Amino acid sequence: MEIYRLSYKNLRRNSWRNFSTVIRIAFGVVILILLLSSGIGLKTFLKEEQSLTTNLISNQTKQTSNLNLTSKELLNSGVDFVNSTFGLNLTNFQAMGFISSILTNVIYLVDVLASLIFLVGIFGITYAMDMNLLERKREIALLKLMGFTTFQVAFTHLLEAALLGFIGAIVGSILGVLTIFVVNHFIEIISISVILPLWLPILVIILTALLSALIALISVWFNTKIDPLGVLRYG
Amino acid sequence: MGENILEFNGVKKEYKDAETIVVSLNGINFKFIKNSLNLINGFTGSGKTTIFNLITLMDIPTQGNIFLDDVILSGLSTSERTILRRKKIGSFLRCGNLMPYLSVLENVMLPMITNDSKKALKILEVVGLSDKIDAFPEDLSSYEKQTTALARAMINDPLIIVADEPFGDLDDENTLKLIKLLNKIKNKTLFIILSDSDYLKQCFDRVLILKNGKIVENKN
Repeated sequence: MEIYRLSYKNLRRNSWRNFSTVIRIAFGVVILILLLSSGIGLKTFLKEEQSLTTNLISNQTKQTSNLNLTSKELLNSGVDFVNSTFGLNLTNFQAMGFISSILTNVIYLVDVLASLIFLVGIFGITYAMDMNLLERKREIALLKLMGFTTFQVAFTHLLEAALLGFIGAIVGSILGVLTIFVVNHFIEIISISVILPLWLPILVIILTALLSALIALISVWFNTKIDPLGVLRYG
Repeated sequence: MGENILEFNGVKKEYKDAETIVVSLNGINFKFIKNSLNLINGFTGSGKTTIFNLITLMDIPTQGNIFLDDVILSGLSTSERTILRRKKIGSFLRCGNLMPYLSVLENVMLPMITNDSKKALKILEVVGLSDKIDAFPEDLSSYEKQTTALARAMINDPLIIVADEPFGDLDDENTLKLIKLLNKIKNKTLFIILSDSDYLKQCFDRVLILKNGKIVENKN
């Protein structure tokens, strides 16, 4: 049996601990996908509105799509309302610039928040791997006694961390994508292919698996560099 | 070295313990031949585990040379010792130390270099565990755990199989049963058993008695 199959076998042990780790990672991934999609949606919205404003200025008579017409009417009435309420004299172009700058800052804030929540979720893997490895010191020593190298033993555990991240990312991506579909069904603002590009869940899954292995690296390295003789003799 | 597989030549092992130096083995010499069952007997602290560590290449001597199949082990790097350990040395310990989440067959196949389940099944048949291949360690008796560990040690056809206190968890009946099994399969390899049970001496081809890091008796 390949030693690397131990990574998969190990997932079945401490099932509750591993399950809670997967849930934490999945939660981080759901939030990441939702917030990044919102950011992408806002950016797309901004681009469309900017082109609409340009159209308004360059060619007032030019007909645009039904969607743009609705947006144009919405923008006109919004600017009229602001002007009449606050006694201002804002043009559509100025109003769009103002909204743009607010939304751009919101996008940055949303991206930072998404990254933070994602990292908090994924860092849960360090606790799980620390505990797993602490319980397996004797097994690690035995694997070394059987003639496996430190690298082989460490790689098995990194693979285990990557698998935990991968499963968490798959679960999170499915939940995230489902949520976006449901939300989009009720609030039909923008095309789903724009708000949720295909690359986003794929990138998130690959990134989560790699990051999980990377984060577990320190704990794996220290726990597999043990002196097997000391462990076998004193436990 | 002829038929000799393993030779200890003036092997000394010291451990530094805080400010003192503990001499675990004090210049011991012995040779073991192919296809034999050997016992290294001694009380706790006599140096048995140090010999286990040296034979399994987990440690290196402070002085002297160890020869394994005419290869001098002193000059080998850590990675060379790891490769040699996997290919040529099998080992097992008290209570088997099996992986609890792997079946008997998976445990036996774990250190396998060629992923050959037929070979593993054949070895399990030799040690009498054919009907337990899918069982997990928690379902095995102490004797079955030890024979699984023995099968695992045999899986890569090693030159030597060394066992540290393999009878520790066995009653007299199962100890004799295991020795009988070792005698049955000794034509394939050299067995070295480290144990403090001196009543077993007559069951082995050769017995070394160790006391305070020195061999005090060496008889066939």
